[in-house]
Amino acid sequence: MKNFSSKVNEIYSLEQFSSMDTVIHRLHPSVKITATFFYILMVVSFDRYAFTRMVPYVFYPVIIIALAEIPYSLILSRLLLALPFTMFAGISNILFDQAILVRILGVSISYGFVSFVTLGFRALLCVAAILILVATTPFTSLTGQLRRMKIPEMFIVLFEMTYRYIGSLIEETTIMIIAYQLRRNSNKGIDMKHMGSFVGQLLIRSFDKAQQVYDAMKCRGYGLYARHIKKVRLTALDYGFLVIACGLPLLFRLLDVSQTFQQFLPGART
Amino acid sequence: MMKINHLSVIYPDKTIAIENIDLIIQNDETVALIGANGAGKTSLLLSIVGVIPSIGEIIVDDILLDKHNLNAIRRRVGVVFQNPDNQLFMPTIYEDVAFGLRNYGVPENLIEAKVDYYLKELGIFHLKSRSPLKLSGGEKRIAAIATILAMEPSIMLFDEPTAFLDPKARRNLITLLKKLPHTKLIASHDLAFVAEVCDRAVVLKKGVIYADGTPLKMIYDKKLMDDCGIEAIPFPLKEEN
Repeated sequence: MKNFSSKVNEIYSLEQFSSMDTVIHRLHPSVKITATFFYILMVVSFDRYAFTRMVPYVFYPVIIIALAEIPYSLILSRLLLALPFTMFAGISNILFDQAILVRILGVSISYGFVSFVTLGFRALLCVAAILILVATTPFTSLTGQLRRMKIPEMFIVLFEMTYRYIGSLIEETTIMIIAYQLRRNSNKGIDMKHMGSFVGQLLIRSFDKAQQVYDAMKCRGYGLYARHIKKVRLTALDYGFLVIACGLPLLFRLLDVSQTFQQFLPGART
Repeated sequence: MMKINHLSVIYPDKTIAIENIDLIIQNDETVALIGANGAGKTSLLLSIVGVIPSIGEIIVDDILLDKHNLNAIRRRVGVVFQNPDNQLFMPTIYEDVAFGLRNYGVPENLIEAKVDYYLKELGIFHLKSRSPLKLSGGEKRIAAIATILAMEPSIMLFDEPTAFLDPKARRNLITLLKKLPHTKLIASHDLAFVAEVCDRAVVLKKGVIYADGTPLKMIYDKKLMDDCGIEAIPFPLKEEN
């Protein structure tokens, strides 16, 4: 139970780093949003067997995390949460695509295995980029900038409310599980015969709570922020970051940097 | 000053929460809204800031509540909700207190100064970088008040402010509320608290104003309190207060 309720803290702890003062935190939000989405666009543009071509893209999370002074463990622990989903999505590739692509040191590697690893690696790179964006940009600046970039209001409100709603959903779940277990004389979790009403009640309660949070937000002028965002001129640092953060992924996309590394693999043959 | 004329609140299921009430609250007055559960206290507070729709007139500092003036009213009237967990939704206390200020376009350098000032005033500056999730009930309540105070409203509405508080935190809250110079409307069924903090009490029963007068006269009136479903304070306790 302790582990479960600590998830609430975990979700928001990343955002707590967003108020730090480092070179990355000082960058204009629009620059970070553009760089993140350009990076993701480049990463997803590779085909499913291009694992080696994506390896150079590790530079972005590694360097940005270091410059932003965010603990690597913080990002890695959240990446691990995403890992099962990516593995689940790619597992069928191993089973259905067994043709041999390459032998390295006598070990056969199938196309399916490479596509499985590629899918997982690609997903982790994308999730890492988003996590870094959240950890280096205050949430209000992020959504404010999205509004300035003319992203439809519906998507932004949905994004904001989902983000706030996750916490209240976990909180309500924790309270209900404690109340359930205290009267069940067992710690085995929720009995299947009670699951329907449990989930139903949970949804009703968390909707109610989300409504109250929304009311509190409205009482403090929620929705007016976009009106007051002033146009801020980008600095030389912003332009420099944009050139490097978009230029390198573009370079890695146009040139096959991985070829250089493959020359060093002894005995590699297709 | 706040004027409420012929105000009614009817929920979509046709439940009448507030029925045709008139109320005037003068500047600097601290008014208690007393009533049993379901008497309409929270509905009245939320209708004043337009969170729930109502029929009738609400005028705050000569501004009539309508859809065009909603934000002007919300800037002048701050609401401290019953459950501080619903009010603290940002990752840190600083961000939470700054939330309202940012929405109303206060410049960032002023925001920092204001947040620091109010956190110091309320004695919770040390919580500035803490997550609201990790605070005690009393700290959360004070932080929730800070989020409203920083917006510098002229009127403050409190919904059951002593709920979830232990005696020490309750005492701190009483001291704080007595110090605040704002016009206050406080919904509560904590009669001892009302007696200490409020100049005037309005008793609600089934959505209508049942009595209006000084708290000390009302809260010991057993018949009046019984009629409204509230337990009156026995006389001996009066001496302790």
